[in-house]
Amino acid sequence: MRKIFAVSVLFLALPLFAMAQSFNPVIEENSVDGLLLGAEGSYKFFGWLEPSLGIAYGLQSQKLRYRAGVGVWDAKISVVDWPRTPVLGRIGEAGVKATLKLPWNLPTVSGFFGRLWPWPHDPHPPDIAYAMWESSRSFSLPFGIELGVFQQALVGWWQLGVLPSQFQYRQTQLSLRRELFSLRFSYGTLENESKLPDFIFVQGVKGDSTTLQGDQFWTLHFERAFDVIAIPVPITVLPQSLALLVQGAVFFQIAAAGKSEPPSDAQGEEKTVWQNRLSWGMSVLISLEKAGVTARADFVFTRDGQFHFLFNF
Amino acid sequence: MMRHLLMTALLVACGSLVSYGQLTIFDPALVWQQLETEHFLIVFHQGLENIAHETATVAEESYEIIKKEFGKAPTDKVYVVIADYIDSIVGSATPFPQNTIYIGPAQMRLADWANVRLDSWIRVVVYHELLHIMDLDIATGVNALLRAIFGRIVVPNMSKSITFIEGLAVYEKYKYLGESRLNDANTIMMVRQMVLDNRIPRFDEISRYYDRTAWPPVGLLVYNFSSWFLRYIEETYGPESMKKFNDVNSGSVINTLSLVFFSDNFDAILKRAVGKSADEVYAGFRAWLRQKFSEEIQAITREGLTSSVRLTKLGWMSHQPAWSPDGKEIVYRHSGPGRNGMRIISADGENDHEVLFGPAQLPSFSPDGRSVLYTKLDLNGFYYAFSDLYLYDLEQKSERRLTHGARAYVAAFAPDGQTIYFAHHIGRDASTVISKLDLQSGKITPVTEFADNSVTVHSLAVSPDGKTLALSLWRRGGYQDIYLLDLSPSPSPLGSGLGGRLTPITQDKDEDLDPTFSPDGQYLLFSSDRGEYRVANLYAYKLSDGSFYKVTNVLTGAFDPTVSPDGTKIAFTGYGSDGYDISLMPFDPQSWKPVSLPKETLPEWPGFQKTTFPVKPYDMMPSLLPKLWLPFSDGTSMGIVTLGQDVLGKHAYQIVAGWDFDQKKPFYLVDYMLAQVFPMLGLSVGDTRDERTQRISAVMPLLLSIFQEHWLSASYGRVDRPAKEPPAPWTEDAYAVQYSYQGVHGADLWRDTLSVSVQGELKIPSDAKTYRRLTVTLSEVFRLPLAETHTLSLKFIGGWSDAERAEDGFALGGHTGEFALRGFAEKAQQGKQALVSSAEYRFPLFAVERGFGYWPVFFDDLRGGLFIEMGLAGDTLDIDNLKIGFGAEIELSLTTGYFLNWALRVGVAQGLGEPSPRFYLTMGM
Repeated sequence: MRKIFAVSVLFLALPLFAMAQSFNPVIEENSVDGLLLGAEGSYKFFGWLEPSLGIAYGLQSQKLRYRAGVGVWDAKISVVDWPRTPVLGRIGEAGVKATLKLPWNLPTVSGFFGRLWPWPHDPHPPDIAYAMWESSRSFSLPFGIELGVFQQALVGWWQLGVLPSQFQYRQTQLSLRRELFSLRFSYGTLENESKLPDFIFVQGVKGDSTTLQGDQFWTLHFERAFDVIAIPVPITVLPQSLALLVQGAVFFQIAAAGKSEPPSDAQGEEKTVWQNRLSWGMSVLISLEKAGVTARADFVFTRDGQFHFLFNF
Repeated sequence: MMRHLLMTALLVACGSLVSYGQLTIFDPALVWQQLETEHFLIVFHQGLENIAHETATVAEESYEIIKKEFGKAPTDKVYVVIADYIDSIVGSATPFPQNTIYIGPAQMRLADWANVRLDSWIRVVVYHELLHIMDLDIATGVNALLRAIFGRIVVPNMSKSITFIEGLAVYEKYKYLGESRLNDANTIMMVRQMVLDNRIPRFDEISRYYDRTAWPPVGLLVYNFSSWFLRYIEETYGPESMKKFNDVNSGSVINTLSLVFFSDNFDAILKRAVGKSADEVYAGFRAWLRQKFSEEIQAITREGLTSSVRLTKLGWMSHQPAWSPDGKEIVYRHSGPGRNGMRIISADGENDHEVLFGPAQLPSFSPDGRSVLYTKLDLNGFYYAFSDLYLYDLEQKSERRLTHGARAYVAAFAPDGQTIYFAHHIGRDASTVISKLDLQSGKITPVTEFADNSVTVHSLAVSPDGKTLALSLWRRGGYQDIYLLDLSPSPSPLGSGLGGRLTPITQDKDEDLDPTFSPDGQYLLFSSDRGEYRVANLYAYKLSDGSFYKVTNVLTGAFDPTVSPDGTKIAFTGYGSDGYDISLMPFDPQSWKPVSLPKETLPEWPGFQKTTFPVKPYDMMPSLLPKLWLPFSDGTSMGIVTLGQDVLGKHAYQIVAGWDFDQKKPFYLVDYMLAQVFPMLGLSVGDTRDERTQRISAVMPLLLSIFQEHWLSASYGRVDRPAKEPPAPWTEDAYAVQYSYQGVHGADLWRDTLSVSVQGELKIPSDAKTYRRLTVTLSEVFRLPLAETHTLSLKFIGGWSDAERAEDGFALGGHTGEFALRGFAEKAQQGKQALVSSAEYRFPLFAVERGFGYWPVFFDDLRGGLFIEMGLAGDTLDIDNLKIGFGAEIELSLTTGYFLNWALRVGVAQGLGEPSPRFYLTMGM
């Protein structure tokens, strides 16, 4: 760990002939680390070599998280101990990760070998390896409509050397967006013959604390926002006043998850039992132009008629 | 039920009539006075005293002329309300509930809507509107008796073709004042083109308002073209023909009994008035037009026509061109049935595209070519709509508002790119000032001021050296001429003395407009309708020696000249079969024909003359008193309907009262609206056979602009019913608050109209627990960017309540109502919550645009629709209960009685899981 820290100091003090690509603070939260605070950045040398480093400290776990890598053109290899993992039902991953961004709008392919993070529900997580394929494309349709297509597929293995050891999922999201109009549809399926614990889709809707779990899911999300008023906010240190934008919105969302249930007898067929949730309501959004600060108040009604007020920044 | 239907019909009829009146809420800070003459009550606010006195004089003069023409005049005094609240033309008249004329003093760019040869804009407006009043007021024969009994509900002359209402006003102005839109260059040009194209409209095309798909727009037909028809009738069948027609029409009992829903057969009326069938008269009119204009066309052609290349192809109103500094592009304004905005086209005719949607007027490039300057009307607070200066950044694609409430309506950049010269209104009487705006500091400095509303600026241009302004000014006496204003600060003999010398270039009764300098500053080009046939042509004035040249000789018209920066081409607005378009021709002074334009003596404008008519504070009571009543009966009860409104629209009421023979008791329903200041307040009380009701409501705008509206309303109501199931006295108190939003966005043919409404209610019934209801409605209509109107509508409605009873919640199904779900029976699902969402695609099938003989029925457009709807209702919203319906619809839009527009819809819908499709028929306004 000390070595990594020393390397990171050296890295951050690199000479100025390198082009700074990015430098961002890390402020996020997960159930293991609690609040995670740190920073990450990358530099590009000679137009093709890009080392990167992120370091953050978990206030609850009291652990230092990191991800350090080297990118050569569109390929990158990194050592990670970082929250977020594409493995369903898990918090983070620690190991070695390689990513290759293929040219001509082809998907990004990545591979990982290492261990999933331990957490109270699973204090001894397994070693795993996975390969992932991600594709994100957007198309400009007539009338100013943007069609977005995001696809993700993962094939993983655990209990290496034991059969069956494979788990996998595929999910697709289609979105239509035109100015402040947005319609999003997602669906996905998974196979978990190797019974990796917690490897399952979890879905929910705004305002409803209950979640749906299943090996298939689909969701639909509609939102139409509209500008109510832009109020100029004079800030003396800035040459131009910023605008406080107030928007209204109407939304509804539906989530459905289907779980395969084994046949009740030898002759029976496997059934998929579906559950669904929906919620709808209105929102008020207040944002400060150019400052990237948005406050959102949601007035949500859920399927059983419960009203919820949500507020977040 | 029958009584409800009857009352609804009466209120619809009354509402239609009232809509002719003034429904604007005036600024509460205005102090109103009234000036009383023998036949008029002139109501005006502070700052309009001079205009009120001139109006009084003009109105009395006009009254005598029209009285002589019709042989009749109103028995009651006519109200004339003068209010300065909008930078637009205000001129309207209503005979209902009392004879009232509304006019505004902001008559900018007068030549764009009136024949400027008339001596006073006040005369133009007052004569036109007074003619409506004195025409629509006529009731003869049995109708005169009915008017005496029932009052102003009997308005038989409202039930006639608009040809004989608007066309009549334009024609009568021409007949007695010698000038009107009938004989201005634009109308003559339009008719000449019709003859050239052999496309003279049918009578049914010119006799009502409808959604017309072809040029000319219906407004030009019912006003300008119609006046030619009436001129023909009088020239052919005698100068009393209009009087005879009105006498016959105003005596028709069918016109009275049908209110505004229907009217008598035009053919029968015309036959009784002039002794000929409508077919015969109209055929004669067409032949007369052909003969008259064919001779003109031959004479103009003999002189040799100027050739030009049509650059834009959109037709309708494609006008106001201006070159980019590099000469590669032209910015212009276009408005038509599909598009409305500022456009840029390459000088080679390619890449014609809209850069800004909306009513931007008179666009021109900044000297650096990066932005476009224009003026635009928008709401100014809740009580005013003023025009201001705007700059559109072509790179950032963003609009910058340069002035706020400056009332600027014509503007041009100085060559320095930092100064903008513009004409704007000041004072309550909307007098004109030419000022300059410094872009850097935002400071506005007056250059020349024209007091007493004596001058209106039509157009202006800055000379290439920035030292001179060229102006087209309309002056009292009916003179629309070209002037040069020296921008050096020395006293002006004609203006108020703020700016430099104002020198007339032309000075005669011809209409001279749109001056522009050639880039080398040697020539001043302008458009003028001088000549025997009043053809608008381009002319040039050579500044060095004062010589004039005729630049074009066209068959229709040439307007808005602008010379390319390299001095080789002239872009101008031409006219053809599709309307106005931008054309190009060479800038070749060698080919111009020298002409002489002698100056006439400009009559002295003595300023406003005060009359001796008494001026008093405005008294609303006489206009507020009921002027009509109408009896009704459904067999078990009998009653009357009456209504009233003061001429400033501050107070309005409707009263229904009568006797119920079954229950042996009186019934009444009184509605009152107070619109003196926002919020508007409404009060309603009633005691009818079924229930007693009380209601108070308030409506308040939150934010208003031409593209966005936000409204908030609140109400309290109480209903008492003597018996309700189960039989017991029943009461309910209801509180409601509603927010509504409507916004329009556009880009070229694309339109996006979004409406959102959120309504919360608290209901306290006597027989159940207090409950709340919330209804959220979102509706979005996309006009697809196709030449014809194709629309895609999306709708989402959500309902939530905590009512105990299902019937107090929401019911899904049927083909009408908020939670309609076509393909399913009414109340197919019911519960505390409901969601409905739908998508509907509507498309044109056929533009019928035909009348039913000479009866007042007109079939407009036939449209088709395909829809899919889905929804669910219940105490719990479970997707498994989702109901889905789909179907198709045909809609016929039609007009009855010349004013009322209807939509007849026939549809079939299939609900998934339903045994059979459901058919439905609806008819609405």
